[in-house]
Amino acid sequence: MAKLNNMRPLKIEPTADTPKIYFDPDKGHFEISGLSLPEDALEFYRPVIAWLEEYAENPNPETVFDFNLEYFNTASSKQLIQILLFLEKLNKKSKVKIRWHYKDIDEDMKDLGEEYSEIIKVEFELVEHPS
Amino acid sequence: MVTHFLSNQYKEFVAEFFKNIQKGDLEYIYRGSVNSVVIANILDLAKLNLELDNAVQPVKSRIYFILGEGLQNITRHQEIIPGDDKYQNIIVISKQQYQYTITTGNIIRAERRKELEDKLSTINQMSITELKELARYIRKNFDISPKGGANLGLVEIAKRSGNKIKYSFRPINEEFCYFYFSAVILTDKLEKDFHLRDYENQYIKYIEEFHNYLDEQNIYIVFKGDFHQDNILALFDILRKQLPETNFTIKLKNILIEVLQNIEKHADNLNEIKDWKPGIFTINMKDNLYYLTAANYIKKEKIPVIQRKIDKINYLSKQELAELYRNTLLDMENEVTAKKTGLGYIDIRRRSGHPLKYDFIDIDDNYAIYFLQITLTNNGKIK
Repeated sequence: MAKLNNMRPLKIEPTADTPKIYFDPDKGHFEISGLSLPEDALEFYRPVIAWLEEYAENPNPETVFDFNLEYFNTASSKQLIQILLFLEKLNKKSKVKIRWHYKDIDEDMKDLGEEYSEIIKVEFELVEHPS
Repeated sequence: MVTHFLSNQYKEFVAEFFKNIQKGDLEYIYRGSVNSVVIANILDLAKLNLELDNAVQPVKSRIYFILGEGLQNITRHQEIIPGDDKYQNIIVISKQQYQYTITTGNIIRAERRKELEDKLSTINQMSITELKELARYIRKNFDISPKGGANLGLVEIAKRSGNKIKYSFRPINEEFCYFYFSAVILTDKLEKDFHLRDYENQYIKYIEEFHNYLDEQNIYIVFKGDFHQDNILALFDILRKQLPETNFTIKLKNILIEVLQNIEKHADNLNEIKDWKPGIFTINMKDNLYYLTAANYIKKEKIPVIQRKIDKINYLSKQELAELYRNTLLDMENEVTAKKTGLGYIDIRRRSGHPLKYDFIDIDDNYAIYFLQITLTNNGKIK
C-alpha cells in the first residue's frame, strides 16, 4: 500500500486507568480500547486530540475509528465526545466511520453508543460482541 | 428534601469508623465464602498497598505471609451452615499507623473449639525461640497430616507476627460457632506499647460486634480509607475479578468508580490535611435490592449545592435524564477544569434507575458527614 500520510503513528500503552491508544494512518488503524478511568482525563486526552488535529490536515481518504472501551468514567466521556465531534468535522475531508464496540451484556455501553450516534452525524456502527 | 433513609445504627457505625482515622489508614473487609480467587484478589490489594507503604521489606514480607497463611486457614476449616446464608466468613485487613492487623472470622463446628483453644493458648505461651523450634519440629515429623500440617500455619503466624495471637469464639447455634483469629504486625517497634495496648483490649470484641452487624445488614464489602486513585483502582480491580460480568455487575462497577472518584474530587478533611480524602464505602443487599453507600466529610457550605443537584435529577423521567445528560455532555463551558464535568450524579442516576438517596450528619460548626446511597436492582444473578 502506498504511503498515504507522513504522520508517525501514535501509540500509547494502556495503564491501570488509561486506555490503549493506537493510531496508525499507514495501516488505516484508529483505536481507543480498554479502561478509561483517569482522574485527569483532560490531560490524558490532550495529546490524543492534538495528534488527531494534525492528522486532519492531511487525512486518509477513509478513517475507520474503533471505540472499544470496557469502562470509562464521566471525566473521560467529556473527552470522548470531543473526539467524536472532531471526527464529525473530519468527515468533510475523510470519509469517517465510527465503530462502537460493546459486550452484549453491557446495556449501558450499548445505550451510550446509541445516544452518541444520534449526536454525531457520521456513519456510526454499533458492534456487539458475545461475552 | 433530605430523605432520612439510613438507620441510626448505620450512622453510628460510620461515625465510629471515622473517629480515629488517620492519614494512610486503610480498612478492607470482605464478607462471604472464601476461595482461591478471593484470596488471590485480597493478596493483590495487600501487595499494592504494601508497595506504597514506607515499612521495610522484611516487615512487608511478614505481613504478606501472615495474610496468605491466615486466609488459607479459612479455606481449610470453613464450614457452611446448611440452609442459612445469614452467617458468612469475614476477613478484615486493617492498617493503622505503625501497625497492620489481619483478622479472620470463620464458621467452625462448635466441637472444634476446645482443640483450637488448646493449640492457640500453647502457642501464645511460647517464646519466639520456642516457636522456631516447634515449627522446625513439625516440619520434620508431621510432613503430611490430614488438616494441612498440624497447624504449622498457626505456629508460623505467631512466629512472624512477633506478638500474641488474639482469638475468640462467638456461638451461632448449638452446632456452629465463629472462630476469630487476629494477628498484628508492627511496622515501627517504637510505637509498640501504645498501639498494642489498644489492640489487646478492644479489637477482637469490636470485630465480633461489627461482624454481627454485617451479618444483620447483609453487608458484603466495607472499604474505609483514603480514596486516592490507587486505592480506587485496587478496589475496582478486586470487584472486577471477583464478580462475574453481568449487566448488573458492570453497572455496579461503573457506579463504584463514579462514586469513589466523586469522593476523591469533592470530599473534605476535618484537619485540612492536603491530598487526603477519607471515606467509607459499603455494599449490602436487602430484599433483592443492592445498596452502595458512600460516606465522607464535607464542609457544610456545600450541602445546599449537593441537595440541589440531586433533587433536580431524582424525579426526572428517563427521557428527561437523557436530555440533561446530552446537554451537560456538550456543554463546553465547564471544560476548563478537569475536575468538574457536571455528569457524575446524572450518570449514576441513569445507571441506577432509582432515585439517589442522601443524608448528612453534623460533626461541628463547619463539617458534616455526607452519605450517598445508590440502589440497584439485580435482574440477573450476582454469584
